Parts: sequence; C-alpha cells; structure tokens
Amino acid sequence: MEEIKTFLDVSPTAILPQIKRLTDSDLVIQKNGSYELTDMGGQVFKKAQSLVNVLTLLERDNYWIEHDLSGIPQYLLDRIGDLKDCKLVKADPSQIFEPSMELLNFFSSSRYLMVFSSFYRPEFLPLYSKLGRLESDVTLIFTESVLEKTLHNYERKIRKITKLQNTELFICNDGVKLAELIVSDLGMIISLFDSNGRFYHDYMSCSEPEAINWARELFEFYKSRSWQIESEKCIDDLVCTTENGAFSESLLLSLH
Amino acid sequence: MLLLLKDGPKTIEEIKTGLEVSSSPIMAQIRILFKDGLLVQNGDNYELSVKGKLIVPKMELLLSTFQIFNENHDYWARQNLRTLPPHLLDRIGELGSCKELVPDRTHIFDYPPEIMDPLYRSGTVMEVSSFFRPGYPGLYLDLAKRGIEVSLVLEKPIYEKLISDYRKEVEEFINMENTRLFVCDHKIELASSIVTDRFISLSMISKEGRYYNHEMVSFEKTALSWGQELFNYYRDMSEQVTLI
Repeated sequence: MEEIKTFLDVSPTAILPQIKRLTDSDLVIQKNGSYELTDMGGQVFKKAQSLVNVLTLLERDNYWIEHDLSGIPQYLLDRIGDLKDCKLVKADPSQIFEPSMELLNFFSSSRYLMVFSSFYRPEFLPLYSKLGRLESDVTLIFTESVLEKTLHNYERKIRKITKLQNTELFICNDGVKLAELIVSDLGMIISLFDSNGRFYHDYMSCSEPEAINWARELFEFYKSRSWQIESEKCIDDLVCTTENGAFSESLLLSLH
Repeated sequence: MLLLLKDGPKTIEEIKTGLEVSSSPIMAQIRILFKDGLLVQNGDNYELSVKGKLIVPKMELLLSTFQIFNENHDYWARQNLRTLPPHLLDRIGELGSCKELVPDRTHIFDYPPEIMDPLYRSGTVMEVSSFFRPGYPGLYLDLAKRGIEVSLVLEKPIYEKLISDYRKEVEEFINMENTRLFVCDHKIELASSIVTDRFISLSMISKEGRYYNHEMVSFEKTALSWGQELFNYYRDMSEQVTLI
C-alpha cells in the first residue's frame, strides 16, 4: 500500500476506492499485506498495456503514420508499441551530404552491430573494420545496388572486412521497403521511406531494451531473406557483374 | 464500427446493415473517427487508416479479453489460468462466447448431454486429458467405429490405467485406421480439452488444485482453431502409441 501511494503520488482516500473496484472484480488480490495482479488481472493488464503502448507511440510522433510500414512484417507490426520510446532525429539540412558523425560516434563502442542499409554510406566502412578487429560481431546486409556501388569504390576495404572472423556480409534484393536499420547493444535506429517512396534523412532512435529486441527481430527477418557473401569468389563475381552492368565506368566516375 | 472495418473496407450501406443503424447517427460517428484520423475514405468505401489499423486490433484484443472474463466472471476467477500454455492464455479472448455446462447428479461422470449430440456429429474429435473418465474406452471406440477421426493425448498415468483395465479395447482402438493415441510424459496441467470441428470443451483445475466435473463450451470459429493449437501443443510433446 505504501509503495502504491508513493509510486502514484496519491492519498489513501483517493486510491482505496480504486483498489476496491479492482479487488471486487478479481483483477487484483491482497496477499500478506501487499497487492498483486490475479491471473485475470495479468491478462487484462497485458492487453491494456499493449493498447496504451501503441497509443503512446502514435501520440508521440506522426513518423509512423507518415511513412511506409509495409517493410515491417505483420508479427512485428503487432508489436510496434515496443518502439514507443523512440525519438525522431531530424537531419540538419546543412549536413545532409556529410558523414553522420552523430551515428558513428554513437555506435563506435558497440559490442555487436547489425546494419541493414539500402543506401550508400561509405563513411561507416571504417567503423565496421574497427569493430571487426575488436572482435565485436558485425553483420551487414546491403541491397544489391548499394553493395555494387560500395564494391566499385571500396573493393579492397570490403574484401578485408569479409575476411574478418566476426563479420558477416549479406546481400538482398533492391526495392526493399526499409531505408536503414542499425542495431547494437547500445541502441537502435530505423528509417523508413515515406508513402511515395521518398527518403528523408530523418530517423527514429531508441535505447530501450524492448526497442532493441524488436529491431533485432526485424534484422533477423531481413537476414533470412538475404544471401551471405561467403567467399572471395562471390565478390569476384559481383565485381564482374558491376563492370558489365548498365552503367559504364566513365558515367559512374562522372557522377562523383 | 471500427471492428467492422477491421475486416476490410465497407460502403456506407454495408456499415448500416452491419451495425443495424440508420444514416444520421452513423454519419456523426464517421465524422468523429475521421477527425481522430482513424478512418479514410476511398471512393465509396470507408476503411481504417494506418493509425486505425495499428490501434483497432489492440482495442479488439482488450475488449475480447474483457468480454470472456465478464461473461463467466466467477468461473475464470476460480481457475488457475496458468495451467494453459502461455501463448494460448494470451489469446484466451478467442474462445469467444462460452457456456459452462455442469452435469446433473445422474450423469455426474459423463459428458453433459448438450455436447453428446455435437460430439457424434463431428468429423474429427481430439482430446487432451490428464484424468480418467469411465467413458473412455467405450465412448471413443464407439465414435471411431462411426467413422469419426479420433485422436487422444493422455497423460502417462491415465494411459497406464487404461492398459491395465481395458487392454483389449485399447488394442482395438489403436488398430483402427481413423484413430491415433499419444502418451504424454509431461504433466498435462489442464483436466481435459476436447476439440472437434464443431465445438471446444475445456475442463480446468481451480486455484486450490480442485476439480469438479464441468465443461466450458464454445462453438465459435476462433475457439476451434485455438483448441486445435492447444491439442497440437500437447501432441507435439507426446509419443504416438502404435503397439502396446
């Protein structure tokens, strides 16, 4: 009782009628001087909590309803309330084409790192090799075009990274409805496309354990739909396709 | 209305029929839901917005949990709900509208007559049980002889009692084509659960560990698939008996 009063910051007269209502309806039971949820109460609480979590998430930010959620499988959409503590991080318009130092610094001491990226972020390559050398597990999933482009510009670095013991590289089809997902023991970020498929440099970020778990499951979902680049030969093959690809080398160079 | 739209887009006429109301009060409701961003209009159809699609299923889950406990409040308050596998307890609302059947004194060990009829009309009958009913060998043999697919999961002590008391009947049962018998080495914490293609009937143990003969019955579609999962849960931790 004392704990309830302190926690809710209320007087006994205010809380007693509430408790009586809950005990009368068998949702709460008094045992040895303390109150606890009954089995029924536990069930009702769970359902109410998951509704409140979704309401909190939607109240806090319009990000979720303004972006395309179709890249998130239904079983994770059902638990999107786990992301209720996410905060929107807006990109600074003057920095959009600069490497995101904020993210790099944030993830630089991760004990493990999972990155799904459908856009090109060469500034992260040193982080991958650093963490790989520090024996943190690093798992990377790039879309075909991102990997091709990265290989084109940083073939040696990619080859080095794939040779690291704790690093795995995967490739998935283009056209995925997820812009970016980074998960580590320190936190997670996710960025989605808007409903017209446009991408803004904003992302949602959170360090709560439920959000990290949710993001890990989303990452595993994409990993199970990707192919691992296991050997040098895979890379050789990829490099060949790139060179014979639709873009001539000169065109790619002129884009830089 | 939100629950109606959860099943897909509807025109105003369909909403009116579905909810059995006239136009004017419904339009006021629609305007409120629009304002809250839960609804969008797509041509003639109204449907849930992204926001609505995220919120409504949670709302429905809370409502169905309230409903099931409300309808038989004293029953659920007495039972130890943790005798159900956690993933199925979380979805207990799927049992929908239930009715508790308690047999009269002359039938104290039998199934209540209300379920005997649907039992014999079923195409498949699956039961998980941790206690012995006098009807066991006879009733199930009879169901099987009428061509009904019968699958039983019995806790080990019950199986052993059956073998020692009714060896011949058990042999006849397992030798039939449309029967399967499983023995569960783990504790089955429920008293029993029968699920057929027509109904589900649960018997639970109270918080004090007591049992009285009763059946909690539901005929709803969602309840049948819930019951099927309950059966599969115990079947998957059991061994099939093909020879005694």
